[in-house]
Amino acid sequence: MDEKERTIHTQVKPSSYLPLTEPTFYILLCLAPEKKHGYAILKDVEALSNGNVSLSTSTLYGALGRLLDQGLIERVPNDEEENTGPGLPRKAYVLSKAGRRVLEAETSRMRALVAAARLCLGEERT
Amino acid sequence: MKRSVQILMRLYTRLLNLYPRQYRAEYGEELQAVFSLLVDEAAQRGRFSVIRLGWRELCDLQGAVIREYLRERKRAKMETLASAQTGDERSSWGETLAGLWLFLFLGPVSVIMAYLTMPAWFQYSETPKYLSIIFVLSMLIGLGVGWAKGWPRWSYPYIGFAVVVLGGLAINAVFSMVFTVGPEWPVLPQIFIAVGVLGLMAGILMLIARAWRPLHSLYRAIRQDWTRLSFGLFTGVSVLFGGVDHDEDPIFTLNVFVPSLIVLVGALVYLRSTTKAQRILALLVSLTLAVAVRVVGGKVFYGTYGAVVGVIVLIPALLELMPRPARSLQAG
Repeated sequence: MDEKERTIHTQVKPSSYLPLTEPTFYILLCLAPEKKHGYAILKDVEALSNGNVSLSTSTLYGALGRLLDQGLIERVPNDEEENTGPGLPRKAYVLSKAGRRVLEAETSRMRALVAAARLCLGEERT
Repeated sequence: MKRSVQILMRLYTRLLNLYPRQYRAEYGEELQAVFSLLVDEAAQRGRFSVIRLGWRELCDLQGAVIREYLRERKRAKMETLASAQTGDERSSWGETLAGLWLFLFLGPVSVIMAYLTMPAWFQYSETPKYLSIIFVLSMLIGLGVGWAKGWPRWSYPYIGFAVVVLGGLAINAVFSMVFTVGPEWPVLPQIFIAVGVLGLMAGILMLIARAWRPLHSLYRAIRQDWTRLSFGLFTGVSVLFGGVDHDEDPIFTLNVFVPSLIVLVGALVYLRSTTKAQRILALLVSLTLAVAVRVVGGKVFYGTYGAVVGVIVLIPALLELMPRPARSLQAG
């Protein structure tokens, strides 16, 4: 994807990407603190979702490719010492600015949903 | 256990070949590395974990492969449209050949087939059905592939040919309604009606492309570079110059052959050009030369016909010379 297309995507409103699917949300979420390679993403997604979301390699790389096309993540060399080793992927993924905005927008959306649900459920109980 | 892990890894590597080539080149190594780590981890938990992992990958793979092919197709379409916006793409030799096929077949090949090499059963005057079938099949394949690939430049002759075929049917219908009296049709009205119908068909094509969502990409591509429509209609010139007088006078073979060859070269230069100015020039020069040869060769009627058709063909391309507001890329 060239720079021009990426610029277009960063100009798109974060809300236009919402709602995110559960795997997409977890992938973006696990990339929020730092860059990670594919295997680390798989493991983190599984851990963050308490084992509820377990991605296959094809689903993971399909999602990563789509997120790259949308400019929500970036692909960088996997050159940090703890991430390099025999058999580990040579590329890593990092959340872009646009990706962070989308993740924040989705979190706000879900927070509003939870607040509404709490309110309704609380009213039902009383 | 080690053996089953090796078999699974080999199977996975083979299955990766199902993905599009570009995708494999980009992610193949990573997919293998991650899968290898997952298999090692599953192997430590036991055989059942390895089987479960293999099964899950197999189930997910089919959908993922289809999605990647669709995404690659979409990306190719977007690239075609993006390059149309800059207008500086040059067709590859494969695309050039695809774009020249109709010009080649309608022009020089038809002439050679009709008079020089092919047996009598293949000649125009004997059994036009054979050539008609090839033309129609070529047109349908060209239109289908062109549509699937987002209307690259080489596909426009097929669109133009479809317009010319439909236009021809309409012209015949009009002529049979209008010119019913007298032994010969008057020449000038004939020319103007035929050319008017061709222009009308091109206009209808644009209206349909604008109104019908599946053809929006065609409408956008033409709006971004009007020489594309001219190039499509240029096929009409090839039909006009290549498809007349075969059974009338064999002496005119050269007079049919040379203009067809000029039109073919014009199409070749058009496809290999990188700027709109070059493309307009390719159409203009080849049209002028073809008409001139036709007139000098003694066929003033078809020369005049070609000149009027040429004007219609060139009108869309000349729109590119008019100043237009700066375009901006829109997302989505």
